[in-house]
Amino acid sequence: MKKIYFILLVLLLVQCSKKEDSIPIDKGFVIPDNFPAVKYNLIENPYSNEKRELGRKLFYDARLSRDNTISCGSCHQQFAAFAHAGHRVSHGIDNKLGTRNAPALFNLAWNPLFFWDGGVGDLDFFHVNPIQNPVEMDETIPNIITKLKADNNYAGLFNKAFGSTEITPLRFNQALSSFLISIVSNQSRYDEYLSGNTSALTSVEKEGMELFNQKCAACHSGILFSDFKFRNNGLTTTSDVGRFRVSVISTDSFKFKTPTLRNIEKSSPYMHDGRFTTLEEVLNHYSSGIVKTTTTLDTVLQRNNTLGIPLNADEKSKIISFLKTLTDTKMMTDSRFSEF
Amino acid sequence: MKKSHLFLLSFAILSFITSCKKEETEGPGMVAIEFDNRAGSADLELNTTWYKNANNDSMNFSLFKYYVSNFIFNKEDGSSYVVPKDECYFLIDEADETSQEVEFSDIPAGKYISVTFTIGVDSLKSTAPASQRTGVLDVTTHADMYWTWNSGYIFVKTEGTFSQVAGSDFMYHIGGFGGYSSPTVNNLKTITMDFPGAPISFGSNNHKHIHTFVDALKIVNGTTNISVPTTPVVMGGPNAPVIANNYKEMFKIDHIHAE
Repeated sequence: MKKIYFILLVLLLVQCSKKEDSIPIDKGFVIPDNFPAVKYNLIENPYSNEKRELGRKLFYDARLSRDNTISCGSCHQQFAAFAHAGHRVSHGIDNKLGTRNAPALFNLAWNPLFFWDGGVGDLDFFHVNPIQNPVEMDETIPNIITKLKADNNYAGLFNKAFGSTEITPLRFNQALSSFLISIVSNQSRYDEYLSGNTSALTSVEKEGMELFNQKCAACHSGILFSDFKFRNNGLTTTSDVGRFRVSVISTDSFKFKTPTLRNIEKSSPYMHDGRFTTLEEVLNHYSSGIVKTTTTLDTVLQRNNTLGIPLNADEKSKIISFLKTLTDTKMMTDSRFSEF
Repeated sequence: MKKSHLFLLSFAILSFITSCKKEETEGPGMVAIEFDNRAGSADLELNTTWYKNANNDSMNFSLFKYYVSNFIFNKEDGSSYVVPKDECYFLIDEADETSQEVEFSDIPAGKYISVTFTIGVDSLKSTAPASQRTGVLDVTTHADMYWTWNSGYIFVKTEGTFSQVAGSDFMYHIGGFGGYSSPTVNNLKTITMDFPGAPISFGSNNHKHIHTFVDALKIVNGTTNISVPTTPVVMGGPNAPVIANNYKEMFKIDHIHAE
């Protein structure tokens, strides 16, 4: 009995202190206990809220593009889990189109490789890609540095973040990385359920979770909902050869990186080329749309000489109910990640 | 007790020998390697001169650049001197004469028979944090020698034209260090150039200049001849390893003379 009183007292205290703290303390980049080891090199670029704040300004600064019209945030919108809502493929400068779907951006500190084909292995070396890409921002980092130097506000922000007003490519890249790694998504209803609140999920969602674990978790595994491997998931092929483009290993043809499924409800459209708009279409693909026109189709999708994953309509709807519990509204509304 | 005495005694003898030797030994010397870019038997001149390769294709070069790194000088006795890694990355550019001679100021005196080096930038450096990639490895100032979409340096890059007809451009950009966590193509080549007239003495009284010919035509000529008009552009893909196998033969020491 005494124990119960003690717990109640603690709970009461917690409740009280919560009410008093009307402004939450900004703890910056916190590594969740149930996440794996961080891949990003925090020794090389130690995290600070000042770097994040500078990175946030840069992320939303359209001067990162040649004609000062497009920022990172243009194609990575917070309300869409930092994916590009309604855009099949990236839509860049002069209304040019890329070839692949702009991915959602969160939990990047745990990504071993970037891009659908894994061509980049270090987040600090990622940012130059959309910047230099002629169909995205079509700008160079030296030019951006010149533009930033002309804006007096930046000297102060660089000073706060790095201890001097010097604006260099290295600091520019590190600040952007600090902002991006700070976007951690671990506050969905599913996470609440994992932390012990069994009523955070409805019974249908729990059934969906069971089905998901049986049918989908072979690839969308673990707390990050991705094994980060390259797989051919049986889409009809286009000229995009996927991982082969960087590896030049024939068995990598038409393979793309398994994407995370966190916030998947909000990061439509789906697949590396954004060909599907709804989760129903995605599950229909896996149940009955798989084609075997290549030699690299994943073995998981052709078990027992049957193409695809057997799923009936009821199972699909339950899995989708579960997937929607991975939506992290807090992350998508957190002012630390917002433009204004 | 006895053991420690023995240890001290041997230490004393050793340091005596070492100090005696020091007085007699020549100090470290300076060795320069000149990368003299050529096209077959002729000197390479950008833009102005047409050359014929083994296929009898015409080639006019407008650009020829490559990374060399990780130099090791091999001695007659089988030992070798590894140049400290941080001083060991060079970008040779036909358009920049100052880039074409690299200097090593601290080569221990001795008799040497060959030099080993890597064409390109090794995988460790290719995956090092940006702060450890300065000078010729700074990807912001040498962006033309870096693939952003497939993070990695372009090891050897040459461009030009193969005919007077407009649009007859060739472009060979070869890189590929083997990948971060999953394997990708590895076109790193480590080669050894034997010293003519070996052994060659290096040391404080023997500064040396190694005059190396680098034949740009070897990019398309070698184990597998590449037809330039048929395959004018290679930037990765299955032909990149073929070209890397060719260009590993493009370096040859012409002569070594005293500096």
